[in-house]
Amino acid sequence: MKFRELSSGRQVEVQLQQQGSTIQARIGGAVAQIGRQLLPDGAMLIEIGAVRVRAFAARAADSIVVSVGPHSFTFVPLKASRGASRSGLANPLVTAPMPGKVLKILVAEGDQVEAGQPLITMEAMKMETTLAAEGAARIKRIPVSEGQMIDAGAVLIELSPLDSSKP
Amino acid sequence: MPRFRTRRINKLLIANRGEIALRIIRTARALGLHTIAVYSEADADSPHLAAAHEAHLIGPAEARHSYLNIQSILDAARAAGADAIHPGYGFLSESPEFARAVDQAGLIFVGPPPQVLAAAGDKVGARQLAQRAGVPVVPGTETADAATARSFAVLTGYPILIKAAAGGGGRGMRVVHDESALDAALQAAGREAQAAFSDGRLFLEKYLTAPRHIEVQILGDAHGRVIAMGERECSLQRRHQKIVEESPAPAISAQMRATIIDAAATLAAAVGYQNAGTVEFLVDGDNFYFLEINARLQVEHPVTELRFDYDLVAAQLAIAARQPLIEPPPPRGHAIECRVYAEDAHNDFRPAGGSVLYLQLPAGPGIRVDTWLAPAIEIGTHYDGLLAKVIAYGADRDEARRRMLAALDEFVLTGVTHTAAFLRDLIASEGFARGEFSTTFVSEFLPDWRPSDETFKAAAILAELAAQSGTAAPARRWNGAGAVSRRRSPWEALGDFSLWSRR
Repeated sequence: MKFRELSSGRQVEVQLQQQGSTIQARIGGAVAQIGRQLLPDGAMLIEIGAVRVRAFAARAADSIVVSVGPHSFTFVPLKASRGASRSGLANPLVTAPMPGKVLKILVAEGDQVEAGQPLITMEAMKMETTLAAEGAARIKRIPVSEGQMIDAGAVLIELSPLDSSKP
Repeated sequence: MPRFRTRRINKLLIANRGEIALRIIRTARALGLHTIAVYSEADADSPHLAAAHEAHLIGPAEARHSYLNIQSILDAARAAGADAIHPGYGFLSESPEFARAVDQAGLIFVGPPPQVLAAAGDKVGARQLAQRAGVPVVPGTETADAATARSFAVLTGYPILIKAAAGGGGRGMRVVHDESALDAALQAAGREAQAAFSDGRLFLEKYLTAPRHIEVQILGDAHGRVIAMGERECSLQRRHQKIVEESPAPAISAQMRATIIDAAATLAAAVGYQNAGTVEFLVDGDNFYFLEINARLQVEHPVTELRFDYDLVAAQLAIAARQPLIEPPPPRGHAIECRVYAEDAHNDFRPAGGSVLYLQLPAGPGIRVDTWLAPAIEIGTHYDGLLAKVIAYGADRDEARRRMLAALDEFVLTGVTHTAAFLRDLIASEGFARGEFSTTFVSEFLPDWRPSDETFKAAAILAELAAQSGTAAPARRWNGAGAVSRRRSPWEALGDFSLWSRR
């Protein structure tokens, strides 16, 4: 399956094969081997290379949360047939990383934005967080308004690729 | 031995939440006190409720209707028959109005008296006080409208720092690097200060580009005795908020250390300081400047506790009961604290939330963990995102550092994005090992930080395993009360890894 890791933005494709007591994984063309042992508390002991580490993974509504030792990751499965590839954008939706309030909308529908351009400012925990465009795109729709309270994961801005909305 | 008229504390209300509520409840219980927890609707499943002898709801999630609601807290105190209130840190801990209201309700406020809180909380007034006491301050102004800011910037040059007059914890603080950003920064800082402290007043300071942040623990009793208990190095910060603290401060001269500790004691005496507090300084080369007095127990107080083998909360309670200060034993060894936050280090330490789906906390010789984490609890984003403080003590800095590394390797928390791995790598860095760093170290270290390829690969493989496991359940499934026992391991449905072990 192909995943996008939310924090780092890294995309990765993984295929697994059982090889005796170890799992062989094909990751981005390379082959990695891991040994694993289920622990009584539901965690797994993972051996990869020289690393032997306690790990845990769980499926949430639309993502998979994974810990490898002190590292935490959130993987979102990427389905080839869905929005992502069709729109040509890594992620056509700007979503709220946390519950909070929409403070300021810095763009308008139809605007053309560049990578890194601030799009929207949110407030949570009395702190302001500004979300920026990950790549060049056009603002397709802004389904929220300033002052609105929103849940984590709420869609704040819909993007479309630059060329698709050109006449 | 002189005798003092003491007051008795039997029933203590803790007007706070999270790890500090648990920390205070532990000492209070050890002293044989009856403990009273308060909580907002968002914290109904929070571990501090069960830790106390009783718990009272004080309002909805929004802090100004609950943890900042003086009337609501006093009502709970009256209902429970409390005779004292410990405010913890943050929330109402430094509010003179709260201290006064507690006093007027006939209860003991475990903290400085209102006039000391007012003197310390007025950042501008505190600067003036320091100047009168002969302690150097960072060049600055006493107001911050756009015109003052422009002329100050012309005088000292950019960058300048905007700060909230009623501030603390980095809120309302903005660095301005050139004039074009000034107006927007003033407005944003004012909004943030207004939201955080109900007081939008600002002032300006020259921004020192790479200072060290060093602070001194102070304690004063009701009989005029004030002592300084060593320093803490707190230069490792993000968003002007500390993430790693240690004591003693590495790489400052014995003379600088003595001078700073003396200055702190002088200032504390000058304000008639009572109870526990902290005097913060910036150190820039051979110069040091007074920054502010934090009139409360600091988040990082365990660093001092481990080095002095001294319970600061017990000291606070004794002082509030008007007992004379008990002299701490001489300090020894080295202590380091790492704050694990529910934040995403990859994205400007953006706040994160979620449910605790798996948890393993560190332990071992010299390791202390102050936390409110527990299996299956919800981590919301209503309040400060501090999840746990991992504190390591060692005979010397190197032992403390190695113990910290081992401890952070043990820290496993699934379900909430957190900063333990970032802290681990920060502590493992050469710059930290050398002890030569300033407040810019975290932002210099951050851009190149990423998990090792092997770690990322392992995580991706686990994601694939979980994706194939067929135990998909909506996240809510794990959120309910008592969910732990019902929760299934995501591996369970792999049934002995049937996927792989078809033989």
